[in-house]
Amino acid sequence: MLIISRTIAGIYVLATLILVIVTVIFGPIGWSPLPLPTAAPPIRVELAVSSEKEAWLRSALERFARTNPTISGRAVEVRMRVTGSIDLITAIERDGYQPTVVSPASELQLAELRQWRDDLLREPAQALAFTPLVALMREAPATKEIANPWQLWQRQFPDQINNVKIGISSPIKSNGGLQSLIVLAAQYHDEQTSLTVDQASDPGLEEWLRQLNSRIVGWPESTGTLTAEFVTQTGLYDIITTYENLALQTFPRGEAQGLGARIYYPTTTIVSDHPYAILTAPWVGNAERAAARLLRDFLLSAAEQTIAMREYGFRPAHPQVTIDLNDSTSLFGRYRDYGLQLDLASQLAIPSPDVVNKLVDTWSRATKKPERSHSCLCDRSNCSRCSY
Amino acid sequence: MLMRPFKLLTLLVLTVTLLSGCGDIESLFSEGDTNTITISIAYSPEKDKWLTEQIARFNDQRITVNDRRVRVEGINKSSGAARTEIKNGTLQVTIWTPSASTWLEVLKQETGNQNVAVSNKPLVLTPVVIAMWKPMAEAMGWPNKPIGWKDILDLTNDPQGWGRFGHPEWGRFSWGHTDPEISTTALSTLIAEFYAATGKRDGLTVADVQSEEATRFIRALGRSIKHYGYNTLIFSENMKKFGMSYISAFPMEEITLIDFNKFNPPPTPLVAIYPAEGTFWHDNPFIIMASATADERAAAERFYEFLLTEESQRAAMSLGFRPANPNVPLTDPISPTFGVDPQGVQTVLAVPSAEVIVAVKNSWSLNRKRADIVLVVDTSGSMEGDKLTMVKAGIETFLLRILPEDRVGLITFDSTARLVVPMAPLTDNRIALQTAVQEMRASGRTALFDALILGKQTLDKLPPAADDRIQAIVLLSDGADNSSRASLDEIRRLFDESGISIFPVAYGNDADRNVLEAIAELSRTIVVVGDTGDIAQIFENLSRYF
Repeated sequence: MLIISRTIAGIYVLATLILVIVTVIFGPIGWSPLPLPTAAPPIRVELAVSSEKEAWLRSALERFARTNPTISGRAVEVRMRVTGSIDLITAIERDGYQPTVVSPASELQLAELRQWRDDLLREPAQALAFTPLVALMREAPATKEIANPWQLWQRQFPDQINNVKIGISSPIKSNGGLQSLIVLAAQYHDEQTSLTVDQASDPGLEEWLRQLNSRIVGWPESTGTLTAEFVTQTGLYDIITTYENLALQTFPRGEAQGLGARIYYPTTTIVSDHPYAILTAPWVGNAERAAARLLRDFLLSAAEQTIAMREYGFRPAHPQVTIDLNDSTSLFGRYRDYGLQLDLASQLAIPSPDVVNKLVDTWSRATKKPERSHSCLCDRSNCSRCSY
Repeated sequence: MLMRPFKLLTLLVLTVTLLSGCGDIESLFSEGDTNTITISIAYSPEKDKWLTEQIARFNDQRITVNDRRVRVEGINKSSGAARTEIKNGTLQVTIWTPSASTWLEVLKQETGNQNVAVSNKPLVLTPVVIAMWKPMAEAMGWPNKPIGWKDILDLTNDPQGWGRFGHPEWGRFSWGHTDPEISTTALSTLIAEFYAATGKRDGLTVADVQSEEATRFIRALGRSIKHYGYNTLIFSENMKKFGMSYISAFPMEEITLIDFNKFNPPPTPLVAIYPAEGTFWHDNPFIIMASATADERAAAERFYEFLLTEESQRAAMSLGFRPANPNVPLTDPISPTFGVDPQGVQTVLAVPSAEVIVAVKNSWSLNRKRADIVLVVDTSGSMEGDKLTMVKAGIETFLLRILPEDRVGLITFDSTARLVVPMAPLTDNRIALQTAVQEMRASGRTALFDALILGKQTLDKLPPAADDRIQAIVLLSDGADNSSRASLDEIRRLFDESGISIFPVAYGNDADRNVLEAIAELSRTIVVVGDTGDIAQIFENLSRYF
């Protein structure tokens, strides 16, 4: 009996070995009467976002994945690309980048995309959150006498400006830089509603920007980088312009290292709305569109908006999520005494592409920085200096 | 008998079945894996521990880009050396992370290629500080009073030395300086000295660097330099070994200071002085080179994201780096417990243009302290053969590296010691030195201690130079003294407080290392092994002490 058992076992083992070797060398063999069920390929959402939302969206996408999202039984996978708002649009226009969703910092960049191809934005974009432009100033001997840094940027620069190091991100690379330029120009013209083309190309403004440029430490490419440098490389800047949410995010680290810094608001600020735009493009199919909507709904849910507000300093887009300054678990509540101001006195309207173009040209001439040759805001009929 | 093949067969089947269960069985057998994106990163040595661990962690995660697995390979290379090799084309990497972005500017200037890199983002941060013994810093008013280069200059110029602050027992102020040609800290320190000389905090120009005022300031500061060195490590090791009697202060990166105080701490700690005139952040930039392909760039970006994660940044912070990720709060060891102030940097100097950086680097040979050096060479019988051949090759290299204005003489010794080439500027006696070196023959016994005394007498008799000079003896020997009238104790007594440094260079496995170590100990230097490894490199490094 023992010999028979061993023979049967030996034949079985030998047959298995032969099958495995043949499978390894020639690939799968055999026949199955019923097809084995295979997982349907996932739906991929390519999400292109601007850098100031990176921290929130990275953690949000992890939470989204934990919900095991599916559309018609197919799993939804999201791949995120992070870059400056202006570079996002440049990548689509110039480099052939094909995202499913684009979410720059502001409607300003969508206006540019619309100028290039308005058919891409047939589905209305929805705001994910709101962030006003602010200044962040650290406590230092040079800033001791400055009550509000926005007062430094008057038509006649006060002497104090010579002793401080100012950082503003580049208006041709960064939405934060462009918004800073818009607010500074409005302040120069004492304008509280919207800038005009004439105001944007005013020679007086150009001369004023030239003088300002000599007092600026640098125009880095991203507002995120600028804000990170403000807190990680102390002493590099005394004053920067940035988004309110990024300013709030610097406080935990600043507090731990004794960096005394406060937020300051201009008289008339500008607010970024972080639009979430699902592209109506040939590369976005119905499944991708449905998956992108699923993600949008998740990001706009009350729970996720609360996280964005509490942990990342965004003003919520969800009407039922409110900022509670007494909530010490939120950045707003914890740092309410750091100059935070929930009510904004007045807001500038988003300028038209023509105004933005003129303003950037004026800035480029004043600072001798290159113009936006690859990514310009202009009417296609009048794009002589633009290259696509 | 039947059992054994049966068991073997069963084992084989089980193994193959298990392996096939791992999934991609094909990749287990395919050598080289052509589908992998391999990216290389050259990093400066202070990041070695951190990046070795992080590279291993990253590779274990089997991260993919465009469905291709990414694999990272690390190369430990000092910033200056990497820049030279990239310039010469002998080092080709996807990513370069020197200590500071300054090196990228130097590379751009030296290659004339402004587009050598496609991106540059900080990885971890550390400021340049003046590390000073805590009691000395306290005597100068630390931590309540800002201290800067001008205070150091005043202390250097004061004949009372530390007596100025009530501590005459500490003698004169002294410090060390590494070579800006290879050391990032030295380059940043030198630029900071030029800023302090001009009173500027930005806008340093080539004219500023070459101005008489700046030259005077740098040379005056240099008067209190005890000796130079080729890297920071030598100084921090000697500071740990010899304590406050070695040097008063030394510019270093904050991470080096934390490491000094944290691991095997000495009885007296160092503290960080953040110069009042301003300092530099070393940003350890993550530079993606322009030569990288699109896939390599994407892979490099994934690696950067990985290195910026909280876990990875906290690992760097545990070693003394400040995280570049702003969402990681500073904790120990970035704290006063380890001699640093989280908020210590109040003023940051603007990184000058590449043209100015190169001018600063080039100014080094003009402004560095000159040296009077006696070469004391063992020509006893025990040095016969390879040892003497190595000595001759070493001296040839050494003479090529030191400055023409340095005064050099040659003493040889066997049973007795003799001055073969009297002291004179190298420009005047280079040929005499080279001839004498080639004519050296080995014979007789070893009067090493007598030769050192003759060396000291030779330096003592020198007519004073117009400037302050480093005084040094380079001793090349196998160390087995058996013929001197003098003793080691006499050497110890004679050289104590003499200001003369002896740099022993040991030859042969049979070298009497105890004697040479004792000489190095009394002189607060180190023993260099002269006949193993790259002779040219050994003597190039030695020449950087002067």
